Formats: sequence, C-alpha cells, structure tokens
Amino acid sequence: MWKTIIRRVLIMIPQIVILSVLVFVLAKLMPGDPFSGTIGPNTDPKQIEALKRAAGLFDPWYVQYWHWIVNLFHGNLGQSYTLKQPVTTVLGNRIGNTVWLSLLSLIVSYAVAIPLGMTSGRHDGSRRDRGIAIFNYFTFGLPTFVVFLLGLYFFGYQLNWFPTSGTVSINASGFFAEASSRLYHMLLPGALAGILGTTSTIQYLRSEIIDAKSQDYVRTARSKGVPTSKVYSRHIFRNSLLPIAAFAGFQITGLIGGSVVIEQVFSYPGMGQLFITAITSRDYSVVTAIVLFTGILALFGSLLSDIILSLVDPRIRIE
Amino acid sequence: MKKSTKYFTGLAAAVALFSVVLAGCGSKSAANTPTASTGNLKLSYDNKAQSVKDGILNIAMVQDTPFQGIFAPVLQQDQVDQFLTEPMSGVYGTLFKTDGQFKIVDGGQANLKINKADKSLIITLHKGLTWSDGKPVKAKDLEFPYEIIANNAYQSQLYTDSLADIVGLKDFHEGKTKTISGITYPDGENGNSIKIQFNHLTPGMWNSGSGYYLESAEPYHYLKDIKPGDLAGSKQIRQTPLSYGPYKVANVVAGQSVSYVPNPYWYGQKPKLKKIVTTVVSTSTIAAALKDKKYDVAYQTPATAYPTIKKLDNYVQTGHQSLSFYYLSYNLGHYDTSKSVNVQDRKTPLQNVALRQAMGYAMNVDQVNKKFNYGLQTRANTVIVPPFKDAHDASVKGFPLDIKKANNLLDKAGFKWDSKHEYRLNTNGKPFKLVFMARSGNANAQAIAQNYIQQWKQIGVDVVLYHDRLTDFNTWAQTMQSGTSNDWDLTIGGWADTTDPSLISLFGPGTQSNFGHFVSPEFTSILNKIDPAVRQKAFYDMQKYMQKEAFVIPTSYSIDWYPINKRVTGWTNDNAQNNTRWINVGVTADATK
Repeated sequence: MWKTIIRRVLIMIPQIVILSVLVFVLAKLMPGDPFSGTIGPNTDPKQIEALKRAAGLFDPWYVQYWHWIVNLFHGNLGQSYTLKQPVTTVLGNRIGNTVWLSLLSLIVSYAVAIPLGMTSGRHDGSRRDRGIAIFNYFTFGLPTFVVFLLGLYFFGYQLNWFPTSGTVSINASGFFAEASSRLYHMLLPGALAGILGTTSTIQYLRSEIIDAKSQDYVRTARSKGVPTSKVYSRHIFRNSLLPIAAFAGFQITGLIGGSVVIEQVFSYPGMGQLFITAITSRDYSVVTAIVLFTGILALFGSLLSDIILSLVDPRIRIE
Repeated sequence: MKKSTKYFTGLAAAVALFSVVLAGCGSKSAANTPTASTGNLKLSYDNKAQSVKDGILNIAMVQDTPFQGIFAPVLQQDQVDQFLTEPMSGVYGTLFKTDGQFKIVDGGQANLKINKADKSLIITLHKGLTWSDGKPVKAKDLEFPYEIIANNAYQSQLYTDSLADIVGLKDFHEGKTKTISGITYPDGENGNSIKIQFNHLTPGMWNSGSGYYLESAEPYHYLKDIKPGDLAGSKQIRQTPLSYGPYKVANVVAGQSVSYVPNPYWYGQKPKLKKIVTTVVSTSTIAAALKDKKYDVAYQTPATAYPTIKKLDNYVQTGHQSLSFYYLSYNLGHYDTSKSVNVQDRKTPLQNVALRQAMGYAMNVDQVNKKFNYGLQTRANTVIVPPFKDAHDASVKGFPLDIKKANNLLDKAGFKWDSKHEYRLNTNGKPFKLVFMARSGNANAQAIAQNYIQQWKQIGVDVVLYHDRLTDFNTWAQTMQSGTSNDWDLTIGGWADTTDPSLISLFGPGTQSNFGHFVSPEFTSILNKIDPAVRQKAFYDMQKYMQKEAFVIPTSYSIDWYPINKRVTGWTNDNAQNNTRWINVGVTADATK
C-alpha cells in the first residue's frame, strides 16, 4: 500500500505543475488587471505603467510564471494588489475562519445525518421514515440563501440567541474569551450549513441499510442469535458507510473552499468571498494561490478517500 | 483623503450577489412604494434631548465584503476605509475646516494661507494638535505623506499630475533627489508649519480636496522604521494606528469591526461618546438589523432597502446630495497617446448634434430613478453637482423626457423613418445601429439598460448592447482607458466628484478620462477660463455649451442616505460641519430605541 501511495503522490507532481500553468495563464487572460479602474483623471498614466512594470505585468507569461514559481518555493505567494498585504497574510486571516466553520458544519452534518439515515433505513416505510423523508425534501429543496436569511432573521434578530455578523466580538480579549466568542459566532451558520448538508448522507445511508438488511451475512448473523441492535451497529452500519467514506476525502477540499452565500449573509469573512472578490478585482496573486491550493487539496482528497475506503472495507486494497 | 481624487463610481458594487433584502416580511405593492428625495431626507437630525455621558454608538457599514482596514488617509483608495477613518480625522479626512462648498476657512486642525505672489502656500498646525500616543503633531508629519506618495518604493497609486506641480516633487519621484525641494519648514522639522512651493497656482487650490496638495498628516516617528513595501500591510497602519482627531482606534477585528474611544490628547471639545463601534453588515440583512434596532447609524445602505427602512418608526431618514454624478457619453473619436490629446475623428452618425440631443430627450431618467433607485438618484441637468451652489447652473434644463421634441430634432436633421425595418436611416439614407456598452454591477443594471434601449427605439434609433449583454467593470474600464476602441458608441459612466467642481480633468482636450473624445476650440477656451475672477461665469458657460453640444447627456445625481436611530443626538450631514461632526454626535439612552 505504501508503494502505491508514494506512486500516487509522485504522479501528482506533473498534475500540479499542469494545474498551476493553467491557473496562471487563465488568470492572466481575464480582461483588465489589478490597476484597471483605480485610475482617476488626475492619475499620471506613467505612474500606473511604472507600477505595472514593477509588478512584472508587462513580462511574457512564462517569465511571470517562472518568477511566481521561484517565489512559491521560497514560501512567498506574492503581494495582494488590492488588499496591499502579503498573500500569505490574507489567506491566513481567512483560512482559519473557513476551516473552523466548515469543520463545525461537517460535524453537525454527520451528527444529524447518521442517526437519521440509520433510523430511516432500519424502519423503512414507517412514520419515522416518512418524517425523515419530508425533512430531506426541505433540506434539499430550499435555496440555501433563503434558509440562511430566515435562520438569521429568527434566531439572530427576533430571538437574539446568536450574534448576527462577524467571526468574533470586538470586545473579546484573552484566549478563552476570544475562542468562546468565535465558537458562539459560528454556531448559527455552522448548524444551518450542517443541517442543509445532510441530504445525501441520509439518502445513501438509508438505501445502503435497506439493501444490507436482505443480505446473506445479516441473515447469518441473525440466525446465530445476534441481537438486532448489534446487527445494525456492528454488521450493517460498517458496510453501509462505504459510499460515505468514499466522499470523506473530498470533504477536505470543501473545508477550505468556503461558501460565498453563508459568508455574505453572516458577514463572515472566509475563503469563498475572498476568491470572488479577488476575481472581480483581478487580484491575480490571490486568485492563483487559492486555485492552486484547492487544486492540490483536491488531489490529496481523492487519495485520502481511497485510503479511507481501504481501511473501512478490507475487501478493497490499494494495489 | 476622500475626494482628493475622482473615483469611478460603482467600484465597490461589483460583488452584490443578491439584492434580496429581508424586508421584515411585509407585502408591498409598487404603487405605494415610498421613494426618497432630498426634500424628505433631513440634512440634520435635530434631537433636542440631552445625551448620556457614557454612550456607545453602533454603526453598520453595509456591504457584502470585509473592509480593507487601511487607517492612513495617504494610502487609502477605498471609500469604506475613508468612512472608517472619519471619527479619527473628520468626514473628509482633512485637517482643514471648510464652508458648505468646501472652501477652506480658518479654525480647523490646521490653517491654510496661500501666497499668490510667490505661488506658495503655508500650512500651519493647531498648537495643541497631538497624536494619540501623546507626541505632538509636527511639521515633518505634514511632509511625510508626500514622501509616501511620491517614493516609488511605497507603490502608491496616488501620485498624480496635480501633485507633480509641487516644485521638486517630480525629481524626488524619479529618484533624482533625496528630498523634496519645494517643501520647506519655516520653523524647522519639529515646528508646526510647512511651506509648499508650486510651479503654478490653480483656482481649485482654495478648496479642500483639490488634489494639488495633501491634507492629512502621518506620524513620522511611528512609521519611519517600517520598510516602504510593508507599510500598507503593517500593524501600525491596520491594527494600532495613531490619531490626531477626537477619537482613536481601540480595537480592530480585521475586515469586520472597529471600535473607537476618545483620544485623551485631543485638544478640542471633549467628544460625547464613550465608544463607537462600526460593524460590517450584509446588504441583505440591514433592513432586518435596523428593524431589530441593532444599529444607530447605517452607512451605504442599498436603495432597495429604502421602502422598508422608511417605515421604521425608530429611525429618522437623513441624507444629502452626494458629489457623484452619472452621464451618457458618446464615442466621437480616439485618444492619441503619443501626443496626449483627444481627436474627434470617428465616422459615426453621432457626430450629428441633433441625434445626440434627441437620444438625450428620449431617455426616461425620472422613471428609472423612481422605479429602480427609489428616488435615491435624481435626474441631473448638468455635470456639475448642485452642492456646488456657485458653480451649478440650475437654469440649464438638461434633457428631460420629450419624445416629440426628439422626433422633431431627428426629422429636421434628416434622419428619415424607414418603414421597412421601423427604424430611422442615417442622413445619407443608410440604416445604422449603435452599440451601447452598459456596465453590470447593479442588480437593476440590465433592466435600466433595456429601458433606455426601448426608449431609443421609440424615436427610431436602433441600439444594441455590446456583445448582447452587460459589460463587467474591468472590461469596461480597460476599454475606456485604452481610448482607441471603435466597438462602442455609447456608455454610461459615473464619477464621485472631488470637492473641486472643475471638470477639466474629465472633459479637457488632453485628458484620457474624456471617454467620448469630444474636443472643440470653443470648449477648450471655456475650460481654460475657469479661474477665480470669472469662475462662476465660466462654469455657467461650460454647462450651457455642454447642453448645446450634447456630447454627454447628464443622467443622474446620487443622494447619500443615512438612517439614524432616534436616540442619536448631534447628527448632521452638513458639509460645513465635516470637521466637527464626530465631536458633537451623542446618544440619549443606553440602548438603541
């Protein structure tokens, strides 16, 4: 297995190089540059030209690409043109917010989806199952921004249970106060996003469990006199998790991708918004850094999915 | 320094993803939707109640993206950062006190004296002016911003032609000298005044925000050791900036919120609040937030929220005419980069002034403003905004909707109807089609563009959108700035004007911002006459000439609108009180009413 993992990692290197070239060239093909629109009628066009030259925007793309790669290996992702900070600082400010929020919503999502999926599969056709199906229709059918807006309106503004914007209170000082304020700020968006993310997990789990119920190994277990609850928790559950485990690796990419909708509604500065803003303002250095980063994570995510799958299902071995 | 440069308006609106406003679930019919006007927005909220001693003012900064958070006027390029710096340095971030039309008067944190004879000016700081770390503001702090802007190592985009008129600044900018020879210290670097020597004096110099000199100070002792390239990203600028105004920054959560407390070293009247907290609130939730009385003041609230917020009992709607204006521009030529001049040489039916005027009269700007902007924009009659009372000519009519007049103009000029394809033919008898480069960025942009196209169809002028869709801001800006594009015939642009109404930089013969490339010796001579002695007459002549030639059609002025909670005291949008607004603002009760 180790051999395979190493081979997969080695194959990733050319993939990442191709990805980085594509990302870099596509970013440069966008009309305009970071300086478009910042030029007032009194601005000396020569000044802007000098700044563009200093930023290397007049060099051929491969020269710019080479500089970028060299800097990349020095841990320097460049300077954000519009935010006027190093890209690493910009990403550092946002990535934490997004990772914690995504992690919370992932936990909520599994915490809600797994029991619901199990119940609905075990008691298929019952009232409980129908109730869960209705819940699923809602989480699948409702547009996410409507749910976020309504959630914010009721829990934030009407009931005043949760903060309505930002990631941390401005008055929080000290590690503990700040950490608890951060958690408090992400509870509502995290819970809402988590609940909305349950649909596919519930559905997969339900149908896998229904399938498994009629399998020979279940019948054998039962005929041996294994208690029903144990049959479900030990035998059926593990097998039914396979399709979910297959996706788990990819969730990692989702962790840093962020959600533009949730970030906008809750004024929660994260990676999703940063990406959109960087594109609209042609902040090349930020755009390329984010795309490259998510691309690399996607590659690792798929590898991780394979590894998890082989751990969960001994029948699958990476050869 | 707000207004030291003109801005393309609509820059920040680029990522307005949803215009959904959580309106508190009320149903509204279009017929009784309230619309604003400068008439029903109060300039000041005259709250007679006594303010409490330790009040906290909560401000909502309404936008869908985090703010940048550069608390140094000299490095700011963003209106939001300028708003955020207001409690520290006044509304327009200037050291000077101004009258209602932005003319500099004595009595601010610094005074200005212009010496016409030797083309110089002297800026003298108030003796008690002190940084929030207790150190006095010195003459060197007035000079340091010039070093930041002109030294290429700081990578400032704010170095302009106007500033280059200061003696020696260009040489310093090009690295030929180590100091700026035109800036001297009459009583030493540690004194409290600087003298700036110019090559020419310009009429706008008596106004704040003219852009010929800088109007803020930066703490040299606090920033001098930071590498130029790192300055804008430094902690000293973003997290712990110094202030010389009534309030200082207490805490910053990057991109999200800022809190301010009184500056203990402020020499003037003690501010009334214990704390000010400004927080970013999304455009889709601001109406709900105000309904829940979460904030005392809201900045940049979108017009779409106006009908809901107007109905809230606890808020007073205040506002004033902003310095922004929008106009329709016709592409009549190109910009010759080698000679730095505009050439009006394009072969287009738009060279016919009757067609330009007729298209102006066909636009129903009033209806568009009422329906899509809830009255927060009004039809413009000229390109000089009304707050410049002395320069704005109210007698110029502009182009109000008049289809009959438009048709008459076209008939007389020889644009004949072609019954076969139901449009008019060019004066040479051939059909023609015009390309409209309309910008995206606003939720209603498509509807507005289609409305205009439909109006032009009524007078028989065939107009299509550039590439059949709206154009994104970057493509638009690139096309306009290239100055040589032949792919568009008309576009709508907007400028947030400087506090100086002179428009030579927008429509002059040598400026790249003259997007339509209209030039005429008569117009150039009018523009050149705009100097103090005949200033008003020249401005009036300019507006009359622009009305006659119709090379741009003024479309709209904007209204800055601020909903204010009824517990707020001392709030005013009066330009004459820009320098002191934040000292007088207070609150009456401990919680938002």
